[in-house]
Amino acid sequence: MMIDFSMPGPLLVALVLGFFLPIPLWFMTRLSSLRERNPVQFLYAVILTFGVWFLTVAFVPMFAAGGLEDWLVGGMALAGGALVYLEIWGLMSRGYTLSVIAALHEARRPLTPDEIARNYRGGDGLGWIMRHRLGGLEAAGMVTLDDDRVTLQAPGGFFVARLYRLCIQVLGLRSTG
Amino acid sequence: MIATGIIQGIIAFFGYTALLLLLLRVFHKVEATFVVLLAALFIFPVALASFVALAPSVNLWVFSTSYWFLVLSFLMGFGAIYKSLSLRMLLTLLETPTHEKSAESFRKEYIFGDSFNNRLQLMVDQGLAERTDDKLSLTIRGASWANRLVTLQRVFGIMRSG
Repeated sequence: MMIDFSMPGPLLVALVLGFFLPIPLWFMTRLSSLRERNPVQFLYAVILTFGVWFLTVAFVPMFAAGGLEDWLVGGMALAGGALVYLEIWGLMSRGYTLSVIAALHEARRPLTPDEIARNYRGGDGLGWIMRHRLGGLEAAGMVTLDDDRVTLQAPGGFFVARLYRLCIQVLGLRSTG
Repeated sequence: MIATGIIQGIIAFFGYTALLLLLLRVFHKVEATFVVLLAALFIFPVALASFVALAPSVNLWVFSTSYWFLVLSFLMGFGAIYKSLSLRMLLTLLETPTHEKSAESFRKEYIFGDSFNNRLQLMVDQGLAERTDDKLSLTIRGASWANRLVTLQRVFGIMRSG
């Protein structure tokens, strides 16, 4: 019958810190030890932000949590903000389509699809994406690579592939990838 | 009261997933990304109005945070399912009788085949690129996006993407 507009302190702190997450992220990108390690840079920025949020809520009375629910809501807001930036960060550092746009941008002239493929990722070529993704799957123990053969590996590879198939079926998706 | 807001957010999220399962089957010719986003935006005010009408009290911020956190988490997973090359390769291996395949055939099928051409077509469809004869070039809008992307990548020290 009524809408309550009161905002729990931990939620307010989480919204502010979540919005400004790019600032610690920028600092992480300046650390030479984390250079070109984009996922680690993001992870450390999120851990730092959560740490600041926790300390603020725990020790600043003005933003103190009234109970477990306040902590939960604040944590969800901060994690939600991190997810938004993670999506943007993922697109910037791993985006396939954006990299095709960057290849066209760098060339500064019209390119055929074959030329785009060759110029992809600053000249690494489109084959790079294949090596990168297969390398990631191998490191995760989901496939083995033997010369040109890629083999699905039990149990991790089979489990993830079956889970993926189930998700596609449940969602009723006709095309993916 | 706050716990109620969280529960209301969870109920609204389940309403969203139920609606989505129906919509993705009914509108299977529509781009799935639009369906999942529009359904999330549609359910939010409908659920809020329902709780205002039926529940003794609704905390706007707690309900919104709970609902959108769950929706965002779902969208992250959905994005991976819908666009991940790695997952698609794993599924292909699973459905191949010997569970193995040559890297070269993956390269031809996914990288230089559908996936690459779909993305080029998507760029044209969204007005980011245009085709002249057999060549593609960025439109003014595409060049503007590319400039922003490169600037952001420089600011955050991202050397290359892909």
